Amino acid sequence: LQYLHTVEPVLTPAVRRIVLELTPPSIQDNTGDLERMKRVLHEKGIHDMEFSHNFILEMPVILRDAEWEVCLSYTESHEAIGLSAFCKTKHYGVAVDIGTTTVVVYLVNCADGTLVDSGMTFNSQMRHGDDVITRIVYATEGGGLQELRDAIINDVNDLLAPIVEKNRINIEDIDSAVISGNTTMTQLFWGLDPSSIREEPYIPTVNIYPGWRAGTAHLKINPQAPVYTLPNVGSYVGGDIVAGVLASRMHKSPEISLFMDIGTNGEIAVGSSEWMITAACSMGPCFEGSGIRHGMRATEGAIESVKIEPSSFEPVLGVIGNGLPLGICGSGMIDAISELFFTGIIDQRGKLARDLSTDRIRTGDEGPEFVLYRGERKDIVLTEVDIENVIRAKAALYAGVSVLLKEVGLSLDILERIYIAGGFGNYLDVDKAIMIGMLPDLPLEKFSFIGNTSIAGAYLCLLSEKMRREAEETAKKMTYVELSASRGFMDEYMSALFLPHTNIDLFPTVRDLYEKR
Amino acid sequence: MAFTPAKETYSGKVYSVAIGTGEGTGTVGGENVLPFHSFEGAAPNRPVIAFEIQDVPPADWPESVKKPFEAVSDDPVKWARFCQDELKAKAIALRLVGTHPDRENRSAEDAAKTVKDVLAAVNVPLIILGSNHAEKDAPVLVAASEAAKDKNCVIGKAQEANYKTIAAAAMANNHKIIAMSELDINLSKQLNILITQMGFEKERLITDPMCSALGYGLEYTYSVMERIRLAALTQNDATMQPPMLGDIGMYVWKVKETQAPEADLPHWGSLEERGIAWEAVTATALLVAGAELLIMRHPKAVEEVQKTIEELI
Amino acid sequence: MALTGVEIFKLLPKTNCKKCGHPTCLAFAMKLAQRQATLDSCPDVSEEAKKVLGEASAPPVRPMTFGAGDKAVKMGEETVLFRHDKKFVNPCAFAVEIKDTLSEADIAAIAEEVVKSEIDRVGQKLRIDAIALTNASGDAGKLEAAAKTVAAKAAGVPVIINTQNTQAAEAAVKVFSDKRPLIYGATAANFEAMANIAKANKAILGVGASGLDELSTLTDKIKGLGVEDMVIDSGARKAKEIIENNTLIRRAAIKKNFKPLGFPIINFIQREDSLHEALLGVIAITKYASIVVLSSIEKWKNLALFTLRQNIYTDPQVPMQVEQKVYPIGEPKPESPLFITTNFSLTYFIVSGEIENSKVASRLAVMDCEGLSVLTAWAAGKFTASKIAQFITESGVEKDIATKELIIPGYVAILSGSIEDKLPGWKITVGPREANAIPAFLRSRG
Ligand code: B12
Ligand code: SF4
Repeated sequence: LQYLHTVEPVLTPAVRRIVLELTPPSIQDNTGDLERMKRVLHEKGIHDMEFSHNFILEMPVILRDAEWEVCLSYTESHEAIGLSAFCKTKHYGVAVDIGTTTVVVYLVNCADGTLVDSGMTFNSQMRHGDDVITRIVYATEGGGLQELRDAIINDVNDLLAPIVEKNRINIEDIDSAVISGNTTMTQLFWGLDPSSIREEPYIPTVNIYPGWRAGTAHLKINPQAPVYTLPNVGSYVGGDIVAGVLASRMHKSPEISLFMDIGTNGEIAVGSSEWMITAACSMGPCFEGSGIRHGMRATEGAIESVKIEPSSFEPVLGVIGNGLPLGICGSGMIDAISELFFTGIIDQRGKLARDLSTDRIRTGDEGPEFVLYRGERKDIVLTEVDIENVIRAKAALYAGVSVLLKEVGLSLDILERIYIAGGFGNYLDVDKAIMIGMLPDLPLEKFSFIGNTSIAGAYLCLLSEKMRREAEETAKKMTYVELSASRGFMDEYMSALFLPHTNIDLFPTVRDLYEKR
Repeated sequence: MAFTPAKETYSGKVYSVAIGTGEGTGTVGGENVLPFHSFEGAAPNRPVIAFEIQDVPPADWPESVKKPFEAVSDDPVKWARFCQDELKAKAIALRLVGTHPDRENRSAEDAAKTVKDVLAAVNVPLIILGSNHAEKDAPVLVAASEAAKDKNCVIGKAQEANYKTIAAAAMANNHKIIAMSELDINLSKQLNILITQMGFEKERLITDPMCSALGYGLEYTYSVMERIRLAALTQNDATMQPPMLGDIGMYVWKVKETQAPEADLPHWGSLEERGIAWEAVTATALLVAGAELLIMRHPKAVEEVQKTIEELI
Repeated sequence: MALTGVEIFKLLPKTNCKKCGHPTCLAFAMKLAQRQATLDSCPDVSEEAKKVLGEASAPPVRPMTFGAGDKAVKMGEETVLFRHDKKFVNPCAFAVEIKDTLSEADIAAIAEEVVKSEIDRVGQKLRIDAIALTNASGDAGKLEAAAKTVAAKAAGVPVIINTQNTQAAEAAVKVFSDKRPLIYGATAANFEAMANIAKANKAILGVGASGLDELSTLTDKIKGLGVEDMVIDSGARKAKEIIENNTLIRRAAIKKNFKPLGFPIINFIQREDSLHEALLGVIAITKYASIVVLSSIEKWKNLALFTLRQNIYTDPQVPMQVEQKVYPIGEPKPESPLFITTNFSLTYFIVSGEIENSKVASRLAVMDCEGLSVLTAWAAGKFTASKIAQFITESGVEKDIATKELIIPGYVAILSGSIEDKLPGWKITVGPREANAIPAFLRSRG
C-alpha cells in the first residue's frame, strides 16, 4: 500500500460513490424520479450519467424507502450501477491473477486501499494440460471451451467464498474487479475462443478489453461490478506482463530497464518511458517444477538452495520449511546446476562427469543422474535430462534478451535496472543465475527481484484510474517481437546452450571465478 | 576523388599447425588475414590438399572418380604411393571406412596394421580418419594413434560423443586431431572448448565444422567457416583459431550431380566434367570461406584447385 | 553508417498512430533499420528527420536494372560484406562473350545457346543472363551487324556492348534502344563521349580503369557529366587481384559509404581452360561481382555456377533446417522401424544420432516444420496429425515397408489417435520422450 501511495496518492477505484439528497417530490415539484436525480447530479457537475433499465426498475422503491437520501454508485465511465439507502463505509474490490499454473486473489478495501485478505490455488484447468497450448487445443479440438471457462471461474469463486465469509462481507459490496493474466488465460476467462492465438499469424481476439460486468463473467460479486482486464500486447505477451511492467514502474523511467517474468513462458520487456519492446522466450515450465523428474513449486518441502562440497561432492541442502525435502524448485535447480558446474561434476554442456569418484553420480531410468538427497522412500535426483531442460530454458531466456537488445541496436551495459518477476517463492540467488548464464553478467545491485508482479499490477489497477490508463498506454507502446520470425534468435539460442555461454567473454565474472578455481 | 584503400588489421591469427615429419612436413594455417587477403597481412602457408584413400576398395565411389585409381585402389599402400609419386600429393588422408560396422567391420587391429603399412610407404603427412561411426571410431582411432606414434599425423574425427578417448590417444602419441561438430559455429566452438579443457593444446587442433557439397547445404558450411575465421581474426577468439578442414570428396561424390548420366539429364551436360567441376567448385568456395586443409578425390579437380590457389597467392 | 532501431525511433513522431501499418513507431523504426520498410509510409515524419534518415538509408551500392522486360537483371543494393550478416540481395549475372569476329552462324548459335540455357533448380529458374558482345574486329559495322544477329536470336537478353570505340558503341547501342544495354565502356581516354552516348540512349555505362584510384576519379567525373548508372571494372583479371579489388571496392562502399565506388562490379574472367574459368567464377560469385563475363557456357559449367550462385544468395538467417524426406539410417530393410521428427537441424542431429547408436537400421521421416523443434512445431500448429498424415502419404514410404507402423516422439503422444484416424491402416506407436531413450526403446521391442 505504501508503494501504491508513492506512485499514486489518490485512490480512484473503478466504482465511485456519491451521496445525493433529493428534495422529495410534491404536487408542485412534479418532476419524475429520474429527472429529479439528474437534477442533483447536475448540481454536482455530473451531466452524462447513464442509467440501465434494470437500475430504473429498482430505483423508485429505494428512493422512497430511503426517504430521498441515497447513495449512488457509478463507474468511472459514468454508468449508474447501484443505489442504496445509506452510504456503506465498506466498499471492496478483487484483484485476480490468473496464472497458467496458479490463481491468486486479493480482496481489497477500496475505501482505504488495504489488503483485506488473499488466497491462492492451483488453476484447475491443469486437468486439461500443463501449458497454454494444450489448453487451446482442448478448447478448440476437444470442444472444451466452456469447461475451461467454468474451471477458472469456479477457481476464482471458490477462493472468494471463504474469504468473503471469514471477513463477513456482503458480496454486493464487492463492486469492482481486475483480472490479470496471459492472453490465453484472459480469453478463456471471458469464454473467447483462443484458437487464433496458436495459429499463424498469432492474433488474439481482444487486446484491450471493454469494461464488461461481473455478471457476464459469472463472478460471484456484485453483478453490476465492472471488471477491468489488463490489456494484452499480443498472443504471447499478455496483460500479466503489462501488469508487471506497471508494477516495476520502468515505463516511467528515462533509464533503460529490463523486465523478465520467469514463469512458464519467460516474457521479457526492455525499454524506458519513451519506448518498450517485448517478446516471449518460450522457456518452458521447468522453473516451476514441471518436466523435471523431482521438480516442484516453491512450496514447503522444496529444495531451494544447494551447496556442494568441492572435495567430497557432498551437497548441503536448504529446504523450504526446514523439513525433509520432497522435491526441488526453480531456485534450487539454479543453485544446484551452478554448484555442479563449479565443482566440475558437470561440464559446460551439462553432462555429468562419469569418471569422478562419487557414488552420487549414477545411472537411473532416464540415464545419468546426480543424487541430491538420499531418502528413505525416495531419493531426490537431478538427471542429465533435467539439466538439459534447464539449460534450454535459460538459453531461451538469455537469447531472448540478446535478440531484443539487438533488434533495437543496444548492448547489455546500457541496462540500468533489471527487474525479475516470477514464482521463485521468496528466493532467487541472482549470483547463481548469472553463473549458469541465465541472467546477464551485470553488477548485482542492478537486479531486483519483485515477486508476483501480475497480482501487484492488478492491485494497482484496482485502486487507481491513473494506473488503468497507464496500463493501456503501456500496452499500446509495447512493441512485440515474434522470436520465431526473428533473425538471429536461433543463433543466440545455440550459443547460450552452454554453461554459462559459448562466448565466455560475455560473462567476465564467471570466467574469472572459473579460472581462479 | 582520390581513393585510399581501407585496409584492415586483424587482432587475431590462425594457428599454424605442422603435420607430418621429416622432409615431408607440411604446415597449414598461420595467416593473420582473411583468406587470400595477402594485400593487408601475412599468409605464409598455402592451403594443403590431401588425396583421400581408403583401407578397402572404393566400391561406393562413382565410376568417374574410381577410374583414375583403378589400378591401385585394391591396396591402400599402392594407392598411397600412387598419390604421392604420380599425383604429387602434398598429403594423404587414409579413411578407415572398412571399420564401419555396416561395412566390412574391420577390427581396430586391422586398421592399425593398415596405418603402419601406409606410413611405411610414404613420407608425406598422413591424415587418419575413422568411418564416422562415433562409437567404433573410438577404439579404431586409439589403435591408429598408437600405430602411428610420433609421426605427427592428424587423427579424426573427434566428435562430441567420443572426443575424450580420441583426444587422449592423440595426446599420448603426439598427433594433431580434427574436431568435428554439426554445422553450427557455436557447436564447433563448444567442442573446441571441451577438448582443450581436457588439457589438449589448442594449437594442435584442426576444426571441421562439417562439410557439405555444392547445392546440398554448401551455403551453411560456407557461412559457418566465414564466421569462424572472422571470430578468430577480428575478435581474436582463441577457441576459433585452429585451421579448418574441408572434407570435400566424401560429400561431393555421393550427390546426384556427380552420378546421374547425361543420357538421363541432358540439360546437365557431361557427367565426367560435371563431377569434377562439382568437387573443384565446392573446394574453391570453401577455400574462399577459410578452409586451410582439404580432402579431395579426383586428380583433375585437385589439379585445377591447385592451379587456382597458385593464382590466388 | 546505418542507424539502429532506437536511433531512428528518436526521429519519428512517437505517436504510435499506426498509420504506417505498424503497431508502434518503434516497430516501424526497426523495419526501417532492417531496410524492410521505407520512410514514406509514415505521413507525419518531419522534414528534418527525412533528411537524416534519407541519407542513412540510401543503399551503399547503387541499385539499377540491366536490360528490360522479363529478362532484365537487377543489380546493386548490397548492404553487407558477409552473407551471414544479412542476405546478399541481387544475384550476380552471368554473361557469355561473343566476339564480332565470329561468323553470323556462330554468333547465332551462341545466342541460341544462351536462350536455351535456362534450367530449373529447387523451384528457381536459372540461366545465362546476358551476352557480352565484343568488338574484337575493331570495326563499327561488324559490331552493329553482330548486334542485330544477337537482337534477333536472343531477343530480350540484356546485352553488354563491349567496345571502347565510340562510333562502334553508338552504332550498336541503337540496336538495343529502350532495352537498357550496358556499354562497356568508358576509359580515361573516351569517357566524355561515352557518357554522352550512354545518356542519350539510356544505357548503363561500364567504366574501366587500372586500379581503384583511377577508377574512382573516373566515376566521379562521369557522374559530373550526368550519368548515374555505372558498372565498374578495376582492371583485375587474375584471381588474386579480383579478390583484392572487389573486396576493397565493396568495403569502401559499405563501410565508408564512398560513393565513387558504390556501383556494381563487372569481372572479366575468360580463360582457355573452361574448368579453371569456372573456379575463377567461384571467386567472382562469392566476392562481390555483379556481372561475370565468361568465354563459354557448357551445360556442366552452367549447372555448377548456377548452383553456387543460388547457394551464396540464399537467406542465411532462417533456422538451420534439414531437407524434408525419409532418411535411411544404416541399411533399412522392409521390416525396419520408421520414425518421424521435425526438420530443426538440432532435433534431426540428436534423433538420428541416437537411432544410429541403437545400431538398428531404421528410417527417419523428417518433416518440414520451418526448422522448429518438435514441441515448438506442435505448439505452432505445424506438426499436426493432418500434416503428418499428408507428409507420410506423399512421401511414398509405404511401399518400402512391411508393416505400416510409425513411431512418433513421446512429447506429442497426444497426436497418436488423430494420426491413426487420418492414416487408415497405420499403427501409430508412441516413442520415448527424449531421444536418448531410443536405443533402450528399440531394444525392448526386440
Ligand atoms: C527454443 C524454443 C523456442 C524457439 C524456437 C526454437 C526452434 N527452432 O524450435 C522460439 C522462441 C521461436 C519458440 C517459439 C514458440 N514456442 Co517454444 N520453446 C523453445 C524451447 C525453450 C526449446 C526447444 C528446443 O530447442 N528443444 C530442443 C530440441 C532438440 O527438442 P525436440 O525437437 O523436442 O527433440 C527432443 C525430443 O522431442 C525427442 N525427439 C525428437 N524427435 C523425436 C522423434 C521420435 C520418434 C522420438 C521417439 C523422440 C524424438 O528428442 C529430442 C531430444 O531429446 C522449449 C522449452 C524447452 N525447454 O524445451 C519451448 C517450447 C517447445 N515452446 C513452446 C511454445 C508454446 C512456443 C510458442 C507457441 C509460443 C511462445 N511461447 O513463444 C512459439 C511458437 C513458434 C512459432 N510462433 O512459430 C512450448 C510448447 C508447449 C507445448 N506443450 O507444446 C515449450 C515447451 C515451452 C513452453 N512455453 O512451455 N520456442
Ligand atoms: S505512421 Fe509514423 S507516427 Fe504513426 S505509428 Fe507509424 S511511424 Fe509512428
